[in-house]
Amino acid sequence: MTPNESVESGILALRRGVIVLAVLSQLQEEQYGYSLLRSLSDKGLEIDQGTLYPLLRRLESQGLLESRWKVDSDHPRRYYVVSASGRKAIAQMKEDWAGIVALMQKMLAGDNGDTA
Amino acid sequence: MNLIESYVHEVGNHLPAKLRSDIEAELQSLILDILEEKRRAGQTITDATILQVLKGLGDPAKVAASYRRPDYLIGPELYPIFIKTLKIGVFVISIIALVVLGVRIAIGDLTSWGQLLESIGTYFSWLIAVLAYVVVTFAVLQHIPLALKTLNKEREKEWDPAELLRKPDTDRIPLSSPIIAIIFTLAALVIFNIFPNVVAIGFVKDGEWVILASMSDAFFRVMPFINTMWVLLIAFHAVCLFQRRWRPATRWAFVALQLFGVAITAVLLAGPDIVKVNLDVLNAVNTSNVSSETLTSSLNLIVRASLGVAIAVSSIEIGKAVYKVFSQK
Repeated sequence: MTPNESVESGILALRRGVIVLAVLSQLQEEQYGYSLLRSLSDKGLEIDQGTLYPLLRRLESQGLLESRWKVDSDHPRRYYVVSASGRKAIAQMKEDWAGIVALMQKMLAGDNGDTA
Repeated sequence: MNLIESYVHEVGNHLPAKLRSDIEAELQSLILDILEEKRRAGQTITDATILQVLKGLGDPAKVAASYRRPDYLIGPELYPIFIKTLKIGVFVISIIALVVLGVRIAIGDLTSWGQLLESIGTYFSWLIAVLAYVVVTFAVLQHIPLALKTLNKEREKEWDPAELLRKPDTDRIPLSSPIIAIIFTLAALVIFNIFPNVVAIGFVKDGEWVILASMSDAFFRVMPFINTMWVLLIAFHAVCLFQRRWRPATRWAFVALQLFGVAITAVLLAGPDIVKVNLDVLNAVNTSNVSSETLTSSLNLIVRASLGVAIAVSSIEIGKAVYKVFSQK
């Protein structure tokens, strides 16, 4: 693996790490897959549908999401929303995320206590 | 069937039946959403637009794969034990092949390079048979949820680094031991009862499988007892697989099984010859003029010596097990 490929793979891993929290956070209100894809994209997080749709199914099978089919246009759509367990998971993940961000900011600023 | 339906159907073909209809419906909904967005943006929807959308979604097989969890024939949990079992199998087959080769050379049956190549071909076909048996057995194990659950439970146990300083835990049963024992005992049970002709010294001659030496009737008279012991052994190792520790009861059961095995071996050792030579085959291939008596007695001597070694090893194992039970009281 070349240095450039290593960087790309590292960035990909970072993005992959935040996708679950990003998706759960946007499903506090009911949305169908494509509208979620668009809303994430509008906020700057580009996710391939080949990643998002299987992820939605996985989160549902883990009990973090609930889904139902609705016909509100010319074709049926599957709507997803966070479940009660999903809401608890979001709260816990947000807390962890805040800790990770604070830690990384400290480390990247070279102020992790070792140099004080 | 239109383009969209054909694409969705193609994706569904790569999915398990229980997921298919649901994923197909959602995929169709996604495609219609993408097209609706394009329509709203002022584009006219033609077949070319649909083809472009489908191209963007990607190869149906890849799309279907993204919905499937990684599935293994033999997963990373079982792979190390699988390799170990395979090595033992290859070792045993190689020894047997060498014995067969030795006998053929002794009776002067291997006189040309062609025959030698034929022998090597037979050896490789045995290797493939062992590989197939071991792969199928482990693939079955991989798909028994209880087996994987037991393995994972063992790995999730909290590890204490202080264990490195402690004396080796002699009561712990390594995971691989019972699995390998069950696999080979099961193989023996199947081979000796369903394919007894395989337990023979034979070779392919002029395109036909000929048996030079095989187990005698004296051996097969003892088979019911050997079968009983093998069934008990499989049950014993299954218990070990789930307990993963030697306990006094397990050690006594082991001693009892070993004693049973020694008794059977002693009967075989003291009784008539358990290997018989096929005189017709010997006369047809014997260019070294080895007499059937010499060959029969040589083969039986090797078998009897092996039985003697087996009794000695079992006796040592019995002694060790009894010592362990009493030393831990």
